Amino acid sequence: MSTQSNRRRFLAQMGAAAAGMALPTSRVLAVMAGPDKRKSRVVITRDEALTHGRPAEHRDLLRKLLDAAMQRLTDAPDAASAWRQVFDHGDRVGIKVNTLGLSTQPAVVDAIVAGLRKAGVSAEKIIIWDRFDVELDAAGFTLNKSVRGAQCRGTDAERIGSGYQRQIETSGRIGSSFSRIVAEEVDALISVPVLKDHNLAGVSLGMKNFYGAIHNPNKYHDHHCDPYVSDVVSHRYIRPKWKLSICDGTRAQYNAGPGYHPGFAWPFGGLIVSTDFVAADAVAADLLDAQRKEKGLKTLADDGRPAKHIATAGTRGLGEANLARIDRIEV
Amino acid sequence: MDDLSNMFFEPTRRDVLRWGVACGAAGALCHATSASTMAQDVASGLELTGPKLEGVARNEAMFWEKLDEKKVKCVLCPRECVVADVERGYCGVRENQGGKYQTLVYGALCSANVDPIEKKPLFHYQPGTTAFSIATAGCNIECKFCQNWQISQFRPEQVNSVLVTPDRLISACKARRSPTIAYTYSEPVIFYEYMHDTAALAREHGIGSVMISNGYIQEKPLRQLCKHVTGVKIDLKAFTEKFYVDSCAGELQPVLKTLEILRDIGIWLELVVLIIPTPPRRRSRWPSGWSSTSVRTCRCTLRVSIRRTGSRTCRGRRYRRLSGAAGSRSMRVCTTSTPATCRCTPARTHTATTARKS
Repeated sequence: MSTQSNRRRFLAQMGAAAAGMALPTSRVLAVMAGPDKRKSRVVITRDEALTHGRPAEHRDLLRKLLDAAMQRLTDAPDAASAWRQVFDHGDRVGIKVNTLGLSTQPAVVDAIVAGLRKAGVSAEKIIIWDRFDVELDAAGFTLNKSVRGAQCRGTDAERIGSGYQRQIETSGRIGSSFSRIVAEEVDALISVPVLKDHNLAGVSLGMKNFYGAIHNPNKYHDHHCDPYVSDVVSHRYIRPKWKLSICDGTRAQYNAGPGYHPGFAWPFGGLIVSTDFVAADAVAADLLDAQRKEKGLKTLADDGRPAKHIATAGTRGLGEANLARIDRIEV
Repeated sequence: MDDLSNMFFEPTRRDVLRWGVACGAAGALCHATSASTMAQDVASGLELTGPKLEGVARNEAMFWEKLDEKKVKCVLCPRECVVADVERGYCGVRENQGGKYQTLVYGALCSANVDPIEKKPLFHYQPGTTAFSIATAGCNIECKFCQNWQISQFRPEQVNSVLVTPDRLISACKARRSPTIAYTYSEPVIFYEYMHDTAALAREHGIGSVMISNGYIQEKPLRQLCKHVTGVKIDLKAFTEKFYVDSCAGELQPVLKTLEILRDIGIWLELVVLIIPTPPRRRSRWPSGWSSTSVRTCRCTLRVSIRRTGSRTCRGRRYRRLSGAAGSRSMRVCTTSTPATCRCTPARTHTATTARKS
């Protein structure tokens, strides 16, 4: 009797374990590959209304657009299940914004937080972060270091230097201390860059955004930031945790970045969303190049600053950099 | 047979006591030695108190050029960073704000100590005196064997600093009876403006200034600085471009050029050649024409470093070979860490009198 009971329990446990292992794998595969199993999927969602007024005036519209993009990305029947396909309710999620120069719009981040809540992620498990408090504040984010609600803070929020790990991590050619937020406090990451030009890297998008996770980004801008960007995002603190890239194109800039230059501002009025962060950057860089051509400027490559880091990331198998192999979907 | 006998050896009480005393003495000796060997400058407390700096200490930078689209080109060091608006140069302490280049570390001291001058190391510059030694965050190269990486490889916002104006620094230096201010620990070239102003003021007060540097600086700023400083020590990291590129993210040629310029100026100059036990390096080749007996060279061996592990003290063949290579060029070679045991015979020693004259 006891033997039968144990065997049955054993079999049940094995079955449960197998199901548990199979579930996330199939979920990830479904999201990564989309309906066309060979192609990475990038969803571009735009609305003319976003080009007028301030993005903060369009919070509801941004939520709708983002939910629609997530549904299209995952082929889920509704927004909640779309978000659930990418995030688990137990995830501690770090939203890495970009507040240098033309910065991520808080309204876009609000839409992301709303989406995560649909996946069952509690607000207390969400951290909106960048390098410094002062930069977040200047970009219009409301700092929140309390235990209630989504936190919003810089890496150096508490004490000078305390926000970075004490030891140096190496990855490829880089040697850096990583932000404790990305290293210790979160297990899922969303990169929310701005669709913008960069005078050295060519573009400053989702991958380059993680320069804000290391203490010494100034050391890695030679050779168009290549291969340093790939080195940073390849690190174990970032690559396994990075689940979603949402490029904020509500306000874009096609030249003279990353500082804000009104003369090169571009009211793109949309978002670029993908679970393949290399594909998202490749499509965004292509959009910037198209806009540059339209405005009579040289392409990034002809301007002597090709976005080499995207190609390198593709070569290293971090994602798809070949535009011909990316399923670009406009919503 | 001996091994077996050792295995079955039964110690007496006297043996145990003898070993205990021996071990205790050895332990104490090791502790004292390692404490001084492993001590890092950044671990020392600040000699100065002052308003704790929140953020950065902005001041207009020297040696930069305006470019289009609010970009600037820094011409302080050979790197010549082209920096876009809101971005920083390689050193991490010079920032473009709206098309104007600023230093972020003017008077932002993250380290200040009164050290023996020999700790710089300057073995022939007023030996036996002290140097009021200061540093800010930042460096314009990135040595994988850096010992002070906790300040040199971090940005000003990431280290604790106090704000100290040049005149306050002079007062503090006088109060501690230090005849010299040493700009050291990290890389003084990156806090050039502060060093320049302080050295000029210090000279008026009869206080010397020594720059302890990697020599990665352009000619114009170097010549201007040498009007005020009284001595320079240059770290020659290696003798090959490859080593500079691979291990320091820098270049050898600009450093050699700096050495030539310093020799032309005639300022007090000492060289330090760091010996790193691994990896193997090519045979040392001194720059041609370097046979002046007025240049002193000393060896420093690697201690605690940033990205290099498994290092050990080097006293072996390579050490002797390097000494020989330098000696064969008639250079004065100091291979010790204390002037008392130094066997080199300097042509002259920089004294307080010569410091004032120079």
